[in-house]
Amino acid sequence: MAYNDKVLDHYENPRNVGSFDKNDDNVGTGMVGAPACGDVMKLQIKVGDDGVINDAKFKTFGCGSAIASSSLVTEWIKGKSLDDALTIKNKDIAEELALPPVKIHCSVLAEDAIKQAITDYKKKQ
Amino acid sequence: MATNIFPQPCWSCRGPITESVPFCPTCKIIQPPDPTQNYFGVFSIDPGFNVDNKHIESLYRELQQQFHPDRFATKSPTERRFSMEHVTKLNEALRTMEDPLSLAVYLLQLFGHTVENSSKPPSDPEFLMEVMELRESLEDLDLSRGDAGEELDAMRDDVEKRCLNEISELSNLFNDYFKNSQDSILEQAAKAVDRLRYHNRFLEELDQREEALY
Repeated sequence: MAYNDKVLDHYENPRNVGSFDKNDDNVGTGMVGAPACGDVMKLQIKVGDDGVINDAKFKTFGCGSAIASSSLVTEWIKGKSLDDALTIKNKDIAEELALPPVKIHCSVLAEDAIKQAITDYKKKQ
Repeated sequence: MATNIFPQPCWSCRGPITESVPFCPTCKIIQPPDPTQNYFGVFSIDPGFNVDNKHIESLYRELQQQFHPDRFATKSPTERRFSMEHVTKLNEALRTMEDPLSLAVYLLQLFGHTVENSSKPPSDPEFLMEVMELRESLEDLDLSRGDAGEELDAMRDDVEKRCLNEISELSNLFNDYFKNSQDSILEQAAKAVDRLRYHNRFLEELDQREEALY
């Protein structure tokens, strides 16, 4: 199966790979996984005093679509308020990357990761 | 659980078949595999997680001989097909029994708990963090280092131990379930299955790294 160009681009040049200190109060961490394939995804947000996500990082061990999905969402959520970030749906990710049906679960993972990261951040406030 | 399809007539002599048997009691001709018979039924053993691999292998060899297509080479196409179907099912049954992960998934299915549908509650974040750290340490390992092979071995030992822990946890859970059929036990077993899958995935990744080394 050939990957779409946008997937390949994110896969070959992933944006925002890395980690923040998960104990920092301004940082929210989302950890999600897909047991069926053993993929794991970590997505972290750094939130400013104004409630805006000013930085995001991810680390994903998984297939190209999982890496591309998480790389893409780190770009999307930067500069967004928490509420706006929560409006990102897996469908948007899947459409942007033209994911085939068998890879939709990768975009679901990325959506779940955003939600979890935001929940984690809110718990700390 | 599947419904009983017996009694039914023998496909060849129309004699009565009252239970799942490989050969007709009247005309001794081979019967098709019983679709309602599970893998434990194939080996005529009680369902359970603690199967004795040596015992299973000897049962497998006996049954393999009984159904081997060579014995049906001169028989009718229908008999040859049934012998193939028996051997195929027998091979699937053996493969399932010999791999603890497959066996656990199979038992969960048998008890009506499908792993794919029920792993909705997200995996424990702390566990996922551990998986992430393991994967990171594997990724960060410099394969050009002289002791990279030993490092890989140490990681393998560590994760294989984790696998064995999950397998013994599964064994306990299924034993509990046979005493007391509670759905909550199956949910715990499904979680252990998930953890085992992550560990297996790690070991696959480790194998690939190791190949790169030699």
